[in-house]
Amino acid sequence: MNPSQANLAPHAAVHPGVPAISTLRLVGGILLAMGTFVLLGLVPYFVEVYVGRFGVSPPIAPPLLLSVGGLLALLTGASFVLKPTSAWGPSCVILSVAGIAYLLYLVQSPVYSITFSHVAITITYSTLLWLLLLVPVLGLAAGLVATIEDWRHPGERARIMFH
Amino acid sequence: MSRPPLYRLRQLFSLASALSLVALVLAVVTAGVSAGEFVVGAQSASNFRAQSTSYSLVANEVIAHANYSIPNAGFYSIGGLTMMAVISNSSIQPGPVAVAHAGPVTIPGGSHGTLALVVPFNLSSPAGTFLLTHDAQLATALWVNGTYAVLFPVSIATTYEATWGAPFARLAFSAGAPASQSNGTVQVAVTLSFENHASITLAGVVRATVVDPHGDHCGSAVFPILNNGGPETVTAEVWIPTTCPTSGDTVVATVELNGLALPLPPEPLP
Repeated sequence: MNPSQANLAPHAAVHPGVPAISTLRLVGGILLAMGTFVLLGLVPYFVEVYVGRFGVSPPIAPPLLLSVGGLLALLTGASFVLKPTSAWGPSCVILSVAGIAYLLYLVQSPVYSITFSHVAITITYSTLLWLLLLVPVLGLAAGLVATIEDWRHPGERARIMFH
Repeated sequence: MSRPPLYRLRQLFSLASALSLVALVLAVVTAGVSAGEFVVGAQSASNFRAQSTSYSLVANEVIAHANYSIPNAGFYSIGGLTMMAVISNSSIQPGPVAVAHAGPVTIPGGSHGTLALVVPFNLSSPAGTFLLTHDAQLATALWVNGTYAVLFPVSIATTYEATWGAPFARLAFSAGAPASQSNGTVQVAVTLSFENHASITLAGVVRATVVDPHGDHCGSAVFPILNNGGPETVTAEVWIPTTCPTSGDTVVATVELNGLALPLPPEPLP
């Protein structure tokens, strides 16, 4: 028996030379998901709660920040775990679509307002959000190409990536 | 192994996505740091009050020149900086007394910029006529708009009370009792007093005319006024012939300054 085949998890896609979803990859995915949740969920949440004490009105409800941050974190971790498999492309597409949807939601009210004494300061970040859309849009394109690649040449991408 | 085209295309998209994210994160972080520097530098500034204000009288307008110096201690520029001021006093009139705009200017990082606000007060309007002779507190609403680091449009709005000093505060015009002269004329002394609370030079003339009850002119005088601030009292004599009866006469006068004509209330002869 080929040693690499002896280590294949039962649920992994079986292609010659393609690594299985190893325990290490699972742990990496979990750590990546946790880190993403901290960056996209916890940090914005605590920043909003903190600046809210100084009269800054949050553009997005803090609980929603945590929910969306958690969802994106899960999708990011899953995408990392599925990288050796043909499900990676579709997982990238789903993650990118979720990112695009989130940014399009944020762009509807892209304003931070701070009021103190007789002064009101309003900062608009719509330009930043529109530019940030580039990231998931390019990620979507990458995911679509990976999906097509894996469909037309199963296992070829994973063999190149992991060897 | 040579990479298939689809693989390279996917790599290209992935790389572009990652680079975009890194570039934007860097831009946001550096903009945040730069904005912090800007705020620290701006805290020593005027609290959105003008650093210097001067006034001039041109035609029928008092022009207030207010200069706002804006330090940009950050390293990103502030672009398209504009300012709008709306000055009002609801007890004088419902709408704005004056509206002014300044800009747009661009302030590069690490430098200062100046927004020069020119506020015209039309003295021919009912509000302007009131402000000529009455001090007032004027509610000033200020809006400043600009774009920081290209990415972030910022808008600042504030209100404060500005003190208006009238050029002819406590204006009083009086006519003395007619005094017959040995040369067959009658002398009427007219006195104009006021306090210049505005920071403008008042240079002009007063035209005083004695008018009989039929509206005919009996005599007139033109005398200069020159005041750089503070109280002023000027007295002149109007000579009228004895053929012009003084009973029921009125002195009408106009202050003329740089094209501005300020009619004074008619003053009956005692």
